[in-house]
Amino acid sequence: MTKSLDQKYIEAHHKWTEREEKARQEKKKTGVDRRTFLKGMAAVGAASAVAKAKPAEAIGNLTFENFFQKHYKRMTPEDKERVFKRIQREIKQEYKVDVKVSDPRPIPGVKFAYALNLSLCNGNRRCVEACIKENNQSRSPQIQYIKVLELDRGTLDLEKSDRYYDGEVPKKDKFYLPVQCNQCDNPPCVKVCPVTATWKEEDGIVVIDYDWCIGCRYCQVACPYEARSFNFAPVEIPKDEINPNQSYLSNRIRPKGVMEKCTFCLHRTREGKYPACLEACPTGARKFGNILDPKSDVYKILKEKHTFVLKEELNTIPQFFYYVSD
Amino acid sequence: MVKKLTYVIFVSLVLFYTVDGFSDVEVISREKAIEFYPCSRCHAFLEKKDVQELKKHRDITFRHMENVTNCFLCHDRKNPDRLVMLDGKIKRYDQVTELCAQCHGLRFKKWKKNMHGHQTGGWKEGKNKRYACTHCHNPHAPKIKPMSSKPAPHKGEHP
Repeated sequence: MTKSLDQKYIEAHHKWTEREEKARQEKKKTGVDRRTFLKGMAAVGAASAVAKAKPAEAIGNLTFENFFQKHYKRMTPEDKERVFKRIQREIKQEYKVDVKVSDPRPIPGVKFAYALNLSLCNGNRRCVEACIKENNQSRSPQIQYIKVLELDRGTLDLEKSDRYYDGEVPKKDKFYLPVQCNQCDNPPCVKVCPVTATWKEEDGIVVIDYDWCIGCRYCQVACPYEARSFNFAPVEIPKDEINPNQSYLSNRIRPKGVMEKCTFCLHRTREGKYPACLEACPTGARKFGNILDPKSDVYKILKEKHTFVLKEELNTIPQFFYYVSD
Repeated sequence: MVKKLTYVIFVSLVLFYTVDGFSDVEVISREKAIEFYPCSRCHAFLEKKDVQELKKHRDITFRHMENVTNCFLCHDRKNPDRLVMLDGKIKRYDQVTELCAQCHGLRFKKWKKNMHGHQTGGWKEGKNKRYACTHCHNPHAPKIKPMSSKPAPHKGEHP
């Protein structure tokens, strides 16, 4: 006779309670249960592993100071000063370069937006090169914030784009679509972060606290624009190419195992300058400015031209606009 | 007397810059970017015969307008450091945008509105600087040639 499903469940439950009872009695006898014993074993193993391993890299090393560092938003000015000094010290130790870590804050009444003229962009990748240099991105393995996609004229299917094109540009019957972080007003990457290591600032820039990030890479999956990259290895930069003007939230040299993304070069833009990609663009396709100021370039473009954004249907509300104009 | 003189110089300078229409925009100097400027360094002591013998400026290929062989349509005949407009007005090399604007009026309007051309400086008002036409376009062959792209991202490494 076959047992009914209910009976099976009841039997399983009885077995489980018996096992629990046994474990409880064992604990009474020895004073150590199985779970705590395993925990202890793990701790011993970890300790021995640490002892055996090579001395870790200076950046992102788990020290007392580093472990008890507060979240960026909860830091007092004194805390910040201490943290910036620590970062400078670590970079000096690792890369033998003197850098200045600063912390420019959003300017009240400013919200940044980007506009890009697709009919002028010819895909020469000067912006990519400038971005890598400005933001101290890892050269090997490569991390690049800007991806220039080569598309056939008359199509806008990003799946069929080519990002590995080479040689002389512009090619016949092709157009070029640079994609970088859209600084969405409804950012999916911020929503999924389990530790609130990433957030949107008042001027519209989505930033990451690299010291708070646990490297779970949820945000990389959530972002529909492939704007976020993960540091799989310690950052590798030639010593003379390190940009010494660094900021805590944007271009300081990242530790291994954290996410990073485009921040519209906030260490430059919050001081009134243009982002590095715009200054490098020889075609003048890129426009940047304060969208709340009626005299700014982006305001005029949004008012006068037909602009579009990528993947509008996802309701991410990007602040990076594309338009076509001669 | 000195006071009066300084006042006159100041007013004339202000007028000079405002009348040109560049009081609101800072244009990057073109004269500093030209390799052998001032041109009068050579042209002042060279005679016409010498110039032809030296065979300088022969590498210039003119692909701007059809059937134009006269250099002095834009260059001033008397002063080699200056340019000349179609109506005979003399302009400096820094004011080359006005010379171009004689024909390319619409483009000039766009450039003035910051909707054309390579830009630098900053997005804040007053920090923006503009490049002149001839920084990017060769005036003798203004069509921009195809450029070589910077190296592609490594395949596989790139997420």
